[in-house]
Amino acid sequence: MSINNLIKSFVTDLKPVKVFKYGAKDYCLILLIGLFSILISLAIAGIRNDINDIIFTKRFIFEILILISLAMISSISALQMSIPNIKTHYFKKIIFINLVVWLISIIYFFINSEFVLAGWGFNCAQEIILTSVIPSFSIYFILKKASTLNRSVVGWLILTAGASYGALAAYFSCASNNPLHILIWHSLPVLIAGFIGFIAGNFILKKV
Amino acid sequence: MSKGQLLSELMKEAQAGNSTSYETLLIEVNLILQSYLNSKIFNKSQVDDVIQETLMAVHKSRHTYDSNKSFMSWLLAIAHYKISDHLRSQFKYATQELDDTFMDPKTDALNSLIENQSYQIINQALDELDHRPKEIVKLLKVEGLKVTEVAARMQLSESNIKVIAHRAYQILEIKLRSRL
Repeated sequence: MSINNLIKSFVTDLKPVKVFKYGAKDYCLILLIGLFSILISLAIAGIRNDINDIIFTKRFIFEILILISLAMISSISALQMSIPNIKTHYFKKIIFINLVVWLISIIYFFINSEFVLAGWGFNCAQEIILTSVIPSFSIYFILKKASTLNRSVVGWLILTAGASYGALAAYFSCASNNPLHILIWHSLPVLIAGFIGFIAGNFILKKV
Repeated sequence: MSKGQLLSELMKEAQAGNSTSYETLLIEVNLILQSYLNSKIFNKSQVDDVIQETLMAVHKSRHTYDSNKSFMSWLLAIAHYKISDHLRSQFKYATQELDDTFMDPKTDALNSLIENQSYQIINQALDELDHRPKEIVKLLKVEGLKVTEVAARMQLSESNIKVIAHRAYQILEIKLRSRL
């Protein structure tokens, strides 16, 4: 089919379309869904016993803020990047910086910590994965109507956002303060989830 | 009004269902893409392919264009993605083709060529045999019949069939050796 014929075929059956864009409503919805899944997770796993002792410590507040920021920015970026726009590289940079800050902070705490053994934390990883399901699917369904160009990156962002909510839940339920445990059983699942999203994005998200 | 603003305005009207504006827009987009892609892809037919793919993506994604933002930025994001996608698939295809042709000698193309040539040589050698041995070899080796079945069909004894076939193979061997 020639280009002129292609243009004619588009024009002949043209129908009005509703302009699709994301706004604060969508971001708030994802945040609420994320918080809701954290609450479900905590209702099942229970809140850690020492929550009153650590909730106001600098380290805990810092890590929670980093994770909230990671979850929020990843989900906003996933939505923004599913709309064609040439200026999307800022999002990738911000998320990368966020992840690096989180990992460096854990490594910093690890170096300054007396603990060495990571301990068995399969429950934490499991909690992160299960908690990430609802937010990840919500983001996926919200951006299904959009036109995702870079599907692998958006896939990475979706699962990173979902897993960040999971990691937030794990911070409130897991009693371990051992940085090595947090690095292996809390951070690594987030990174692995992101990697899986990167691979799966190409298959799951609709090609434009 | 700048060209970007004009295109943005046309897209806004197209989103509302105005087909004339949409046609004008797509013609303009085609021209923009041609000049943009000609500097990036040198093969004319490939340029046309990418333009078609980009136009299709523009058509499918027209609901995602926000008229408050730059139209060119939106269009070039799609075009950029389509170029990368096209180059990636071309590279994959070329690599696959190279692998098939040079890395693995038992390719389909090479095999069929060898098979064709061998088939012709064997056929020629067979044609040079006398009628009876030729028939027996064909029945045994081409049709895959058993010696008893060939014997029944040719109305000869089994041992006769075996002797005639044995001689025919010897002659064929000599003829084929001389041709290779």
